[in-house]
Amino acid sequence: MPPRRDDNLQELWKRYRHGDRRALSRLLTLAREPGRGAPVSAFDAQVAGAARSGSRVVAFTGSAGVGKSSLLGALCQLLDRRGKSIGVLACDPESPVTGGALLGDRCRIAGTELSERIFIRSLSARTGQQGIAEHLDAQLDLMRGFGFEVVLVETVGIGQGDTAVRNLADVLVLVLQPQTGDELQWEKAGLLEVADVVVINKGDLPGGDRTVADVTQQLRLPGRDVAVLKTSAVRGEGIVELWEAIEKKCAAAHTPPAPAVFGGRGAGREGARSHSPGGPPHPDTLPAKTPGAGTGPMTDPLLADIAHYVSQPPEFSNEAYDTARLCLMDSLGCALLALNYPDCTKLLGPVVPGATLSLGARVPGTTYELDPVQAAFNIGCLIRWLDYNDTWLAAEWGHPSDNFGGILAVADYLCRLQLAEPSTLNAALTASVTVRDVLTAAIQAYEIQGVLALENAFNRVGLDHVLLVRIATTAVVTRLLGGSQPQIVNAVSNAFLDGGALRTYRHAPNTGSRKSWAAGDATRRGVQHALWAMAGEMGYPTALTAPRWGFQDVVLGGKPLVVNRPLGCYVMEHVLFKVSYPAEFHAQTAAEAVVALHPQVIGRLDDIDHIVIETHESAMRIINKTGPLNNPADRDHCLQYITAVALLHGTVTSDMYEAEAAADPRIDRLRDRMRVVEEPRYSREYLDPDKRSIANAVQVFFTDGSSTPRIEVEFPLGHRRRRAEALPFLREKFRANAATRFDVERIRELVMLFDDPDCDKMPIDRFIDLLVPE
Amino acid sequence: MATDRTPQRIVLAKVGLDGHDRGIKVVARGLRDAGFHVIYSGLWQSPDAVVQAVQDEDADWLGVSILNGAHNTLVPLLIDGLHQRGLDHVGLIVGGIIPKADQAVLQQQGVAAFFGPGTSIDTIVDYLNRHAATPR
Repeated sequence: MPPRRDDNLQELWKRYRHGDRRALSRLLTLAREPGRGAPVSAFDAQVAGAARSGSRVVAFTGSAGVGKSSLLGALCQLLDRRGKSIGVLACDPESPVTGGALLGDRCRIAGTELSERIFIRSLSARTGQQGIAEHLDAQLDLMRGFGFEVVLVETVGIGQGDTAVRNLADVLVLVLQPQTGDELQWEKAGLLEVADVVVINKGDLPGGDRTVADVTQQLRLPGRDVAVLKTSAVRGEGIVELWEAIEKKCAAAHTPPAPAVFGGRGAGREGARSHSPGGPPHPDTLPAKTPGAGTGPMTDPLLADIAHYVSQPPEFSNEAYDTARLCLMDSLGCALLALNYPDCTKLLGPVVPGATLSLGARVPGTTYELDPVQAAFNIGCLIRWLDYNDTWLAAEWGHPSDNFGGILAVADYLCRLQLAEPSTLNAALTASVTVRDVLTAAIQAYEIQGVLALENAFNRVGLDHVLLVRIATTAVVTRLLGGSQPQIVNAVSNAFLDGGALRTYRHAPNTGSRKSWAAGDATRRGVQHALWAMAGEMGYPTALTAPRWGFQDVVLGGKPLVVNRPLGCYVMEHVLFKVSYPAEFHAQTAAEAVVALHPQVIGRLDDIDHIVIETHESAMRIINKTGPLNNPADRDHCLQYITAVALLHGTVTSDMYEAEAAADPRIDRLRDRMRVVEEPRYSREYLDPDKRSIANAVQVFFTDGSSTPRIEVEFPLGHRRRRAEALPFLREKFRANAATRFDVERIRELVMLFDDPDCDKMPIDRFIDLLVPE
Repeated sequence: MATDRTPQRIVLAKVGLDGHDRGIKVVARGLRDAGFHVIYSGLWQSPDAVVQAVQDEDADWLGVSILNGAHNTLVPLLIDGLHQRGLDHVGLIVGGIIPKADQAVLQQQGVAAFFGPGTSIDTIVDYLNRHAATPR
């Protein structure tokens, strides 16, 4: 009756790494059946790879009926109240005859109310397995790798001789009850020799204290330091003390592990760990002069990582700086072009007429002088208005250049503040903010926004990706303002608490111009948070992971934010420029291929039998459209339409999406003859972090059996692999955009600046001087 | 005999304010003896908690027993919950007192089978084995 479930291992591992509980659950079953669906070795390697995390593994053993499950349940409740994520593996015996098992631990552990933070899995243990389930080691690795802070294991209660679990756990708890055996019994109990903590449960029964005394006496051996406690699971007594004893043993066994995840439940894997602040805190972070978060041990690792990265950036490559310079040029060019659109300019200027700031931050192309918050909105709004500069495609989309709004506004504000009132400034800021500083901040903002976009799809929960602009701007702008790491944590934690704007304005029937100012709004908010943090406002150290009320539980439905690579300059190096055709980005290479075919095909349109477009999965999903297209936005997001007009005209321009051009009947005739197929290699390489291709191939077949060559374009112009090729186009684009506001002489000066790394030394206010009208 | 393959796993649950658990316990033991891995949830579970158990336990089946007349409320909640978590491959079987007219409606909504009072364990075992998702 139920359809066979999908056991595609690769898919399962991917989902597992994204913190998908269902994938964990399925893998726990498959771990019991090595070899199924994949070579054993592959499975083992994956498990071993997953296992390196900071979970504490605590095993409970003891005879049947002493109350292990109830004790675990009481402990789970305690840990849940403390916001810990908990995984439980509970073993029950399996019938050696039928293989059947009645797994009742779950109901004793979970009670009637089960928190989402607790994952319980019942396992069956065969006889002869020393009381633990077969393959428990692999299953334990899976639990660790998923990122639970605490993993509790309950063995089958078979009592003596059950020491196998010792090797798998950090701490072994032996559970006894009063009046179990006489003094002689303890002499032969092997378990007593390996336990770290001994609990006399049901301590409310008569004889409890006597048993505690007996055991304590027994364990008084040189070199042995075993905690002996009395608990009553049903009354909830001694549970806090039990956890304290376990934690103490954990600390003694290891240095306390840095949590591998930002939410407990399976987040960042290798990369996240490698840049987690496991080491001693940086001296900057020690005197937390500002109230609130700082970067103490309780701070969410992601917040601490961002603060550390922004304050102490690694060395960035020259390629990153060169690309950043191009991004700045392209963003400013697009901003200048946007000034020609009244729909945009009506939003610009001070909050209300007159609320300007003499010697405040400038807005390129205008004469406004504003406070940095409003200036950030103005610049951000201009940069994004035409959606015509760099872009970043990942699990979430976006335009990291939006951060230039906040960065430029604050940089210019600081430089001019210094001119206006040098005495009011803090010593750290006596050197001017240079173009170089702005580029560094941009590289960092791109990285924070782009890396968070790699794995976290906010669109899936209906939120707009501009929330990442707010986070990134907050971090880098706090730094520009001279903020310490604790202040950056405070600011960024507040930025997360804002949640996110809904994507409503990006979707029919409500598509609207807010999509063009939403980023400006986000970068403005980032500047506001930075200023508040600098004024000493507090932060919220577990803004992300706080149970129930934190960002992850509220916004992501409990899923953790995943960061799968260390923060560096990857995003800046790989960012895409829009330089070729005004068309949806996944269709850019199809347009390029078809433009190359145009001369061979234009004379033979009536002879075309069919056209094959090979593409990648994202294009299949987003822009593979047949049937009527309703408006320009519909047309510029249709792979077949873009291919048809490029074939007909040998180029693609914005006009070709308008109703007039769309009336050409040849377009739909061509569309009818197109076959769009997915090329698996393209889909794979689209996601490959080293390639990030956006490939399409086009071939036209004629009725006489002949065909054109198959033209494949893997990387669009503007891709990292075609930077040099794109450079002249980018310069030309800037010239054309700037020409709508400035004279030739000024433009020549600006273009020279963007080409000259020496311009990096220039104070930013002098640079902006060139961008404001006389 | 035990094999390398995991036996079929079934979560048996009592949902809502219904304390009649004699029947479900008999079924639990019967299925165990027939070689199933039976995860018994205990009394007074919320539909959410039961669906979470099905997910975390990687169960093939969910069996609920309802004798208090709340089936028209609870069963759709369970079906919805399973769907929400992408657990459409899980077969839902229902025991207890469910009037025929209601059975027809619930079956349309996604219940795989009903096993009312008087059903033998063999009937249930036979059904579950014949409709196993994965060949056993």
